[in-house]
Amino acid sequence: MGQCSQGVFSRPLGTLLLLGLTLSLALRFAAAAPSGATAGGSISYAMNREPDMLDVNVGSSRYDRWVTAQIYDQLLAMDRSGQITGWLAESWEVSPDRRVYTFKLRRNVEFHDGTPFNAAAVKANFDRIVAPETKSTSAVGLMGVYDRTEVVDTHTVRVRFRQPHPGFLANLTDVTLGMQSPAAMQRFGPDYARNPVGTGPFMFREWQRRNRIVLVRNPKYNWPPAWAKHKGPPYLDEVIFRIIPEDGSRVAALESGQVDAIGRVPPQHAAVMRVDRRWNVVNSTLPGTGVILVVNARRPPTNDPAMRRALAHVMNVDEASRIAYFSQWFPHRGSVLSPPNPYFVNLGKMFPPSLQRAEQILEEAGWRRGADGIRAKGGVRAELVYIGFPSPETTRTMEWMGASLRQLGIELRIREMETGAIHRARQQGEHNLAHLTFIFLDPGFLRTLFHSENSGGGWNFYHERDAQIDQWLEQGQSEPDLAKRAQIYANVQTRMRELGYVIPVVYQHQISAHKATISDLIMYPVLGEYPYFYDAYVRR
Amino acid sequence: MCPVPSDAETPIFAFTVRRLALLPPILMGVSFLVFGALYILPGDAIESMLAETGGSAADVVRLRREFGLDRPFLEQYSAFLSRAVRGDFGRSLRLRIPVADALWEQMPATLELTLAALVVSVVLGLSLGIVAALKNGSWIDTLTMVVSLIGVSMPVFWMGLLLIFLFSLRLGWLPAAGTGGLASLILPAFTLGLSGAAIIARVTRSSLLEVMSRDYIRTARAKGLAEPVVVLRHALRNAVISVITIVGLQFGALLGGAVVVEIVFGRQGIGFLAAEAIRQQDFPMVQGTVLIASLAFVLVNLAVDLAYGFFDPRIRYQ
Repeated sequence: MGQCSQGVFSRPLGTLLLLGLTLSLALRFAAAAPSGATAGGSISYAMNREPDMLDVNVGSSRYDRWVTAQIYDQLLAMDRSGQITGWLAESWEVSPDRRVYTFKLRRNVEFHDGTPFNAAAVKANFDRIVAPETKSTSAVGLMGVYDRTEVVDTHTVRVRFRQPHPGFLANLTDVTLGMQSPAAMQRFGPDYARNPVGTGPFMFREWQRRNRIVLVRNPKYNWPPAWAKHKGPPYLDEVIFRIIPEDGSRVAALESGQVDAIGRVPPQHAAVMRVDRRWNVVNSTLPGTGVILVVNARRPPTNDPAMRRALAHVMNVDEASRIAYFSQWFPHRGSVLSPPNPYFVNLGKMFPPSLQRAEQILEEAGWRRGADGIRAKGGVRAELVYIGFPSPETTRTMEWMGASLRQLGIELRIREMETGAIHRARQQGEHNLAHLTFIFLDPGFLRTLFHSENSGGGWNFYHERDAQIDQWLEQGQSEPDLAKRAQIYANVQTRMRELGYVIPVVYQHQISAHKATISDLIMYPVLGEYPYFYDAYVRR
Repeated sequence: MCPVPSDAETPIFAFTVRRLALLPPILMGVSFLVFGALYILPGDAIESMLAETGGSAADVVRLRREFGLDRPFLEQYSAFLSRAVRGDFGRSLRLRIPVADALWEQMPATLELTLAALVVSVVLGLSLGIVAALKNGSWIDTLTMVVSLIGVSMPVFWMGLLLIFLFSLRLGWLPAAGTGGLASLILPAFTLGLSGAAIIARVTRSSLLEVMSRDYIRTARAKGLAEPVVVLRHALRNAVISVITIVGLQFGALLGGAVVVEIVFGRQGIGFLAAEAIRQQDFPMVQGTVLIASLAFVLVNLAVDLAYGFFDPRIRYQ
């Protein structure tokens, strides 16, 4: 009998359906688990400083982010190439003048307390950040000149600014603008900082101050950022943060197996651990100024541009990286931005390290050696004061620089101070060279560091009133045309280095180390400073 | 017959009450000095807060105003005082949590550490001192004194790291850091207690030697009492007076040393809390930790003075 079977396989549609089903299942599995990823287990991670609080609307400490990055999601995400993608916001529109941003939010997203994530939640967060009674320290700076947020419908929200805010999209990828549950903020009031509720892959369980912070898996999690490796809940059951401030003890805790991973590995330990098969060492370059010397253009002898140019030729960034940082923190080729920042410009060729050239410049400018070998000009001795935090690496760098300077006939006095005193001293311009390092993503922040309005009362330590730089910094913050913005910040970087207002040393790095049995424990893309546990798993 | 309070009871009670009555003025004086000192120091809490993420000059001014830090000194101090007498120590500027909560949470770990260190000091110090005194002039005597000299000269910081290196890394016997459980208390307690042990050993040795040369000891020996009884029952009781003085003074040093040990071993405690608060110029937190420390110090000294009476009946309380 030649009767065709009427089964599924015989019909083209059926075959296609089955093929499609198999393919989609295969794809889901492929996306769900790399080979060997096992659910379960926990990772204990030792940090060097404890978070102040877990309320991102309010907090000021960078260390908060290590924990809050696991608890909160942001509206937007930034992948490794600097590309901004959707996260809790699926799509967005920006007005040409960069003052109105409209976001379409992802659906079916829940906070850990079961309340829904929606437009009202976004509005609640932004309004709370700018409210004076919140006393926000860090988040408020990312909100530009905020006007208001409108709830267009449950999943559409519109944010308006009084002035153009071109940096807003980049700022929204920062966990400092992560989304917190309005219901929880309402319920806990001032104690919300100890009871954080977000939408993130991990939920807060407990915090024993100075001992441990415990996070547990969010079983409902299904909205990871686009750059993540899988979908669905995280693999780990638990993440436990420990606090071990002393570098030596922290490294010992990892090597003795007491913890599974540590952050802030000092360069000398990193150099050794990299070749040890028991550990994986992850080294990220961070965005921001990097480690730089700010030169006080108001205090003799660095008020002389020739002196500043000579100093720029003395600094040898490759040597500094090798001698002081065991080559683990890379030589700084920029001026006030680092490679992960948008608009970074490589200026490495501007001042090739050369003591001869420096000598030439000084002689031509009239800095003659005195009887004691120290140069002087017009009655002013070539004596420099350096002010910085006490850190082994910067001390080594400055001692090495001091030796070179002495050859040239310049005296260097190194003054190291703690936080309160150092800030006052730098504000009042007691330095010729001051150590500066800040981590930030959007270059709009440069205004805080280099605009003359912030000299004396803020964080501007080069103290010169350079009208051109001031103008560029003001323009850059609110320039809606991104190509023009890139040009403005290229100009700023070039001029700051050209006129010798800054002498860069190395980029700032964050080095992390973990047991080789742990996989996919990465540092957060671009911001690079803290780990992200979503894709991490423990191999058995 | 009506019961009459015995002569010994009333003076001690009155003595204790008088000492406790001194507490409020002492604490007030301390708080005023601390407040003043922080006020005079360069920098303030806002600059410290913004130091990591940066802020414009305008931000600094705004936050100062929001926190009330731009008000005159006396106004700030009296606001603090009026809340403090009602038991409200305010919220930490930096952490935004109630100061009292933070202290309550961290206190047990410091108490645990200081008590354990005290035990190490006393037990180790007394033993070494007694051995040295009994074997006076021998090589054992010299050895114990050299060891105690090393103990008192080594920086606490370095000693801690050394012990971690040996017992955690090399031998793997004890944890390198953390709070909780006896195992994690051993290394920190030893680190903190060793220099105290060294001092107590020396004092025990010298006061024991001094006491052992007295007439009543010769009498006890002549009576045929065994040497251990002579030493432990008769001589030690007198020698221990000097040791108690040292222990009272040691307590202050222990509180200070606890800061370093808490940092090196990553332990909980008010020592580290206080150090961070001072560095960050967090007024309310500094006040809270200093006042707790002062309270502890006064109470320990009172206990030491009362202990004298127990060991030496000749001491009368006026």
